[in-house]
Amino acid sequence: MAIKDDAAFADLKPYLKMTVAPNGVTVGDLNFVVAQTQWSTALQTIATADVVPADVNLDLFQVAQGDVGQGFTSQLTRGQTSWKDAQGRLPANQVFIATSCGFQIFRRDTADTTTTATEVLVPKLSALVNIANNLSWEVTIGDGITRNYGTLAAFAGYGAQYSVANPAASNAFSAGALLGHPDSRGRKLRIPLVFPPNISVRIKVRGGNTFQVNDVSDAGARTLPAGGFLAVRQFLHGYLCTMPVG
Amino acid sequence: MAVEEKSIFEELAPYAKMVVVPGVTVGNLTYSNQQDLYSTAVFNAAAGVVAANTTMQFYQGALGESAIQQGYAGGTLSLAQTNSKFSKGQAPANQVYIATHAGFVVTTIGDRDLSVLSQESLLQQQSSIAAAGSLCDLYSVSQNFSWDLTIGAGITRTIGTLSEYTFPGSFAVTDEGVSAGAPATASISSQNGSPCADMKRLQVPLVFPPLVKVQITAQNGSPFALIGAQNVQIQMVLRGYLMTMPVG
Repeated sequence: MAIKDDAAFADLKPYLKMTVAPNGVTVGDLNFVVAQTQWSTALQTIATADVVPADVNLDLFQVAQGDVGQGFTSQLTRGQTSWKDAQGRLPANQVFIATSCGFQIFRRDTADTTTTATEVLVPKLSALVNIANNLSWEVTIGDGITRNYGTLAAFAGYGAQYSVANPAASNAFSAGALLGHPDSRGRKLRIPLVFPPNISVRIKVRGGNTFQVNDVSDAGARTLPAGGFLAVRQFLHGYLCTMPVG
Repeated sequence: MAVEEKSIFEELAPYAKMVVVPGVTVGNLTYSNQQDLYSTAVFNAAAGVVAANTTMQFYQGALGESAIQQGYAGGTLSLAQTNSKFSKGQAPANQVYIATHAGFVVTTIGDRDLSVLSQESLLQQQSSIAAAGSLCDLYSVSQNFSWDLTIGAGITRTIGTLSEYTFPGSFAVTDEGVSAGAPATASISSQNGSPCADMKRLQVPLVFPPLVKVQITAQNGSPFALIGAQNVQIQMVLRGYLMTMPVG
């Protein structure tokens, strides 16, 4: 069923005339396949405890399941990404229209996906806020201009975990910090982010100057231990569609 | 009453022309009941490790059937695990279930054999970040597992991670793990969503058509660690409408 012919796609109604391919195909002309969320994870190495290095530059949606990259030293699995097309490029007959976006930030102890990994939340609220406010994301579609969309803090969501704990009495204890409320599912994109057929879409998380986050050294541990990794995961919720036939 | 003739089915109105089986649309169906449809599956994380590509199947076993097909070691599925009467995820010839929302509940169970008295609890999170291997079990499970949908012999589609499909939980009035003014030293419990979480609306309803097998699975990718060896139990809850096919 074409998007324009069905009342079900209220999310996409305002964008029916938006062109998604050079041959004039619009959102309304596309055929619906599935509503789904795509996700992609990248790792930033932490060389010095609690210090995020300058010029963070992480690729997202560039490495497909089964390929190596985005900071990982072995093949990505569905635990790291749902994306099945390298370089952010969909096949000739497919289009993905993302209508909302969210990020989560966490710690991972290994870049190897073949060994058992420990994944934990950043154990300090102020550190997480600091990281999310210092990192922003940008998009380049094809050879177009690179646009910066804003900080990760503005696109919080998809964390889900809810706990009741009291970490206030000592820095040694923390339930971990989520980016956003447990029930938040990201932020609606005012204009959908379109992955057109056969065109590479590059999404990057970028940082500026180096900065230090609040540590928890009185507990004998660090917020971001040296040798570990800061993981950034992006979720894009939207519609996978196919191009019209003929 | 057919859905298309009643204005009370606002939720389904946008999908009135959606075809359920050849010649029958959502609008042609006759309303039967609004209900949640839930199904629970389990896996064992031996030695606190969730193995690569661990898979769980939902809605395969119906109420009263063997629990083994849902990952349990024994016993039969009772109302505690499922209220689905669709064996193998297949609705009878005259029924259709249309799910408009979905959510996941994540817990642990002491024994995978349902015929044995067993304790169920929320997943734990180590509150001390100083502890070796401090872990967030709920976060790890809900971020690493994602769910797939296959209707009939169609293509399997990955819909999203479990973390996106929250379910309302409980609210503790006092901090957990705290005694005599001391900070939390023990593990604390976590749930998949806040106490008043909404189940996520499915942009396009998930339909169990009559006599068509619907397969819903959840699977992780690479291996990851949990606090200790445990049986992780995941319940999928679908919210929607049970309908009957039009007569004649």
